[in-house]
Formats: sequence, C-alpha cells, structure tokens
Amino acid sequence: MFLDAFADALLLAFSPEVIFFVAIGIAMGITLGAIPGLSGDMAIAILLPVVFVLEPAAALGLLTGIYKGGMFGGSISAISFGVPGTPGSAATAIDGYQAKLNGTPNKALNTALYSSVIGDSTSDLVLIFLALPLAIVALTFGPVEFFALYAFSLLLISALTKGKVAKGVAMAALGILLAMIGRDPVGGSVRLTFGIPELAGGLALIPVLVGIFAVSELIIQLGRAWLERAQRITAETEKRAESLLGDYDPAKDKLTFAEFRATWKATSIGTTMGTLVGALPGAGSSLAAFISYGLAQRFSRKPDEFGKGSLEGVAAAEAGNSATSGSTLIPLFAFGIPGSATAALFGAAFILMGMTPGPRLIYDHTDVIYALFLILIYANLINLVLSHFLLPLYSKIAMIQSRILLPIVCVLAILGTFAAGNSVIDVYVLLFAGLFGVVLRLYSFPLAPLILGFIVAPGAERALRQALLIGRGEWTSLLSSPIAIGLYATAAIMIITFTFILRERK
Amino acid sequence: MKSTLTAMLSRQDFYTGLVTILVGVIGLLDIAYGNWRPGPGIGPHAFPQLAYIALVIAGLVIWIDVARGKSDERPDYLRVTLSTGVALVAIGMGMFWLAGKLGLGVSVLITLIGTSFLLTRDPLKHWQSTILVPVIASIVIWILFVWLINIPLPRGLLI
Repeated sequence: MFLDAFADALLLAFSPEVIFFVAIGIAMGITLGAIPGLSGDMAIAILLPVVFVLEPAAALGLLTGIYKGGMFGGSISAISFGVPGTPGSAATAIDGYQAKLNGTPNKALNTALYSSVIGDSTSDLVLIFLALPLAIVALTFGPVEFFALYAFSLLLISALTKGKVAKGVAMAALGILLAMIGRDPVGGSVRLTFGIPELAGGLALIPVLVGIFAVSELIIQLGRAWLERAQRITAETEKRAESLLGDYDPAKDKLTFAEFRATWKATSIGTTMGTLVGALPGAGSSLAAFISYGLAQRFSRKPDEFGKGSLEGVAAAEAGNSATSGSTLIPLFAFGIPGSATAALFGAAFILMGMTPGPRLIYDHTDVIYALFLILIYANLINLVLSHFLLPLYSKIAMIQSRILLPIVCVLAILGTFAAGNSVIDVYVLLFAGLFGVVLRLYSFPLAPLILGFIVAPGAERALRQALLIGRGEWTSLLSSPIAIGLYATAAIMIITFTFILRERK
Repeated sequence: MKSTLTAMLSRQDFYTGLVTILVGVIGLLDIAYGNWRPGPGIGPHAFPQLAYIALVIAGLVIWIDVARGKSDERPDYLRVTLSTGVALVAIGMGMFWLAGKLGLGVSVLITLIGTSFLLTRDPLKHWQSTILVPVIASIVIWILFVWLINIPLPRGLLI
C-alpha cells in the first residue's frame, strides 16, 4: 500500500511537467523576492486562481518553487542593497549589507544560499516525518479538541504577529465575521448580508485572500511609485553601492570551504530555531531569523564581528528564515490549520484543487502529498543549482524597478480572480478587499490573523456548536478534555514567553 | 485627567480603538435587537457574538495601551495611498467595462500603458518600460487567459 503510493508519487514528482513548473516557480520566486516591494507570497496569491487549470502535482510544484525561490530572493536585495526583499530577510540585511560594503558580497550571497538550502531542507524533513504521526493523533480528536486547536491557533497568531496582541485579536475577530457572511451551515439562515442577495453564498476565498493580502500591498507600492520615492531610493542605493565597490576584486571574494565550515554552528542554530518557531502559528520567518541571529551571536567565538559583515550572522539569519518554510506547513497538514499567511495560501490552493486540508489530507490524496514531499526536497537542489550559476544575474534583477511590474501584477490579480469564479462580483470583492487591506495596513493592523480567522472560522464554528450540542449547552464542556486543557495552557505559556522575547528584541 | 484625555485624543490608536469598539457594539446591538432566526444548539448568532465581544475587548485594550502612552504612528502618505487605492478600484472596474466594449486584449493594453504613463516621469523617454513592456505583457496575458485558460470574456478587436 505504502510502496504503491510512493511509486505513484515518484512518477508524479519526477514527471518532466512537474520539474519544469518547479524550476519556473523557483526562477519566478527569486525574481519577485529580489525586487523590494514584491514577494514570493504575493506571487502565490496572484497565481492561486490559475492553479486549478494545472494538474495538482504541477500546481503544487509551481507554488513550492515560488515559495522557496522567494525565501532566498529576499536575501539578494538585502545583501546587495541593504533593502530586505521580504520581511524574513530583514535580519540577513544587518550583516549581509555590511559584508557587501566591506567588498565581499559574493561570500555573503553564497553563505546565504547554502545556509538557506540547509535550513529549508532540514525543515522539510521535519515536516515529512512529523506531519503523518500528528495527523494520526488528530484523527482521534473530537469537536472539543478541534475547537481548542482552532482557538490555540487563533490566539497564538493574534498574539505573535507583529507583537500587537489587541490588534491581532481584533483582526482575527474581523476575519471570523467576514467568514460568517452568508448562510449558516447548520440551520441554513442567512447572516450578515445587509440585505444584499449576492452575499447569501458568502464571500469567496480567492477574492478575499488575494485582495487583502496582495492587492493591498500592490496599492501601497503603486502609491510609492506614484511619489517616485522607491525609484529615487533604488537609484541612490545603486549609485552608492557602485561607488563603494569601485575597487572590487571578484577573485578575492570567493567563499572558501574553511569559511563555510566556520558558519556551520550558526547555520545549525538558525536551522533548529527556524524549524521550531516556524511550526508555531503566527511566529513567522522574521521572528525566527532575529531569534537565530541573537542566539548565534551569543554562542559565537567572534560575537564582536556581528553587525560588521559577519558571515555567521548572515548564515544564522538566513537559515532561521528559510527553516520556517517546511515546518510552517505542519499545522496545515496535520490539523488543517494554517499557521502563517503562506500556509493559508497553500491551504487555499488545496481547497481550490478539491483537497480539504486536515488529518485526512494525507490519506485521501496520498500520491499527491507524497509527491509534494518529494518536490519539497528536490526543489531545494534545483534552487541551489539555479542560484549558484545565476547569482550575478539575480543581483541585477533586484535592480528592476517595481513600478514596471506593478500594473501587470494588478491586471493578473483581477483577471485571475475573475477566471477562478467567472464572477464579476468576485472582482468587486477583490478590489474593495484590497482597499480595506490598505486601510488595515496603514493603521498597523496585522493581516495574518484576519486571513487565518477567515479560513478557520467555519471549522471552528462547526466544532464549537457540535461540542456544545454534545455537552448539552454547558460551556464548561469545552474543558472536558485533557488535550483541550493542555492546548489552552500551552497557548497561554507561549504567548507569555514570546511576548517576553519580543520585548527583549525591542 | 484633562491632560491625559487630551493626550489620548491626539494619538492615532485612540481612533482605531474607537472604531474597533464601535463595530463590536453595533454588532452586539444587531444580535440583541436584529432579525436573527434561532437555530439548532446555540444558534447562528453565537459565533458572531463571540467575535463582536472579542472586538470590543480588543478595542478597550487598545485604549488602555493608548492611556499608557503606547500608540502606532500616524500613517505616512495616507492621502496618496488611499487615492491610489480608490484609483485602482476605478481602473479595475473601468478595465472590465472596457473589456465588454473593445475586448480583453485591447482593454488590458490600454490599462497597462495608461498606468505606466501615470507612474513614470517622462514616459515617452522611457518608452521601453511604458510602451514595449505593456504591449508584450498584454500579448502574454491575452494568450494565457484567452487561449490557455479560456475565460469567458469578449475578445473584441483581438479575436
């Protein structure tokens, strides 16, 4: 049974079509990740409506490639220009850009590449070996445990995203309310439609997700392009970087094996912390990278070099950032709960392809999920090879001004959303969700809790109502399970611990 | 007391907290007095009610933070960003309206060239990025959505 499924997965994962889409995805992810203002996550959101025209393995290969490429792409602009391409690469910029100013950008970029691939691969292996046992445990869960799990995720993601607990909780509540629009799944009555009959079917996932997550960011970037600020900053950065590298000697800027070996401890710290932090809902790659950076400095033999172009600093930050990539998918595969915005996008892709995220996902679609596991591993190798040869080109890609690409990405988002549902209403929802997302971003409300709230609300409501029906309406029945009590207690302990860590970081 | 209140009123998050609380209170009033049909178990209003209560509590905590001197800064370039958002909504709707008249390919081309001209100083001088890139992008988008995905939009001048 297992061998049959694995053989099918091998055929799927290593079909030329899937390998092609993985490579395209990686190239696309690195390109977008390298351009400040654009990101791999945005590309995943924009391409979500397109995935349903591809075979599931090819679609997942494309999204995986974009995700992994985007993770590393962010570090290219961080090192080359001191401008993090993605939030996760902010810690990489500290030492990466200093290394560039010291005349060793190639060493920093290669250190970032190798530590990124090591962190990413380890995290993927943890996902592969943990997802199945956790899914088996989750199959024994009843509504009380599942409601506790949903509450656990919502609480953690609200509390940890950007460290703004109250605003995070408000966003999770708003996401839940948006998901409540339409028919009540239990009684069938219509809720929160404000008399608009088109809303009786509820808000579709794609326009809300793409609108709030991607279009809002595009609007902000377009506003900046309108002001020509980004153009000037990039031009100034380019000029300054060129002048500083006037006597740059590429021959002296090759990463030696001894130098790579010296970063091994920092890479290990980053890999471990990134994998652990990534598995927690809401903690995110930025937090993982900064924790890894701080710990690597504490345990380094040369802590004074941190902040001055230390390759250990680059390795720790980049391994910490990339090691969240596999583990952030663990809650999605095991429990059906996305622990991050990226996992939410992958969850949406599964739903679009007719696959329900959760403990039954691996059993119901064994061949596709095993193929995804294989893709996760070999995509790192493709990333390594592509990036190794194309690093000089990628640094130039980072100079592409985002204003050239922004209108094209906007048009793709609009047409893609229409294509997904053949509905003009979806396009209106997309545009207004984008505008709403802009307001939320401007007033520093974190968006990840809203997205998670929107996605998990139907399941959480079903679990709560089932649990209370079984418990004859007694709210204390929600505490009738030791697993549920354990989850609530763990959430409380983690929130307190991470609030303390975040304060230390500030 | 008066100075504390004045300080609170001058902070950005006082108003974000106020809006959060107002949304929660209006929702709770709607559940209390609105036309909600009863359903099995705790009913269809229970989960939204929890969310509204969470909104009110979150708003109050934001206010407590404001009273303790914690508040996010006023957003930069608020007017420009919001104007861009409204413009994008108008352009998006306009593109869809135009697609019905001229076809998808032409409406996308006009939209891309128009926005590129808006975003670039001396657009004719930078014709590669304001004309050539939009033309290539329009052709690629047309092939992707009309040939490959086959979305049901009028093809207009580009059949």
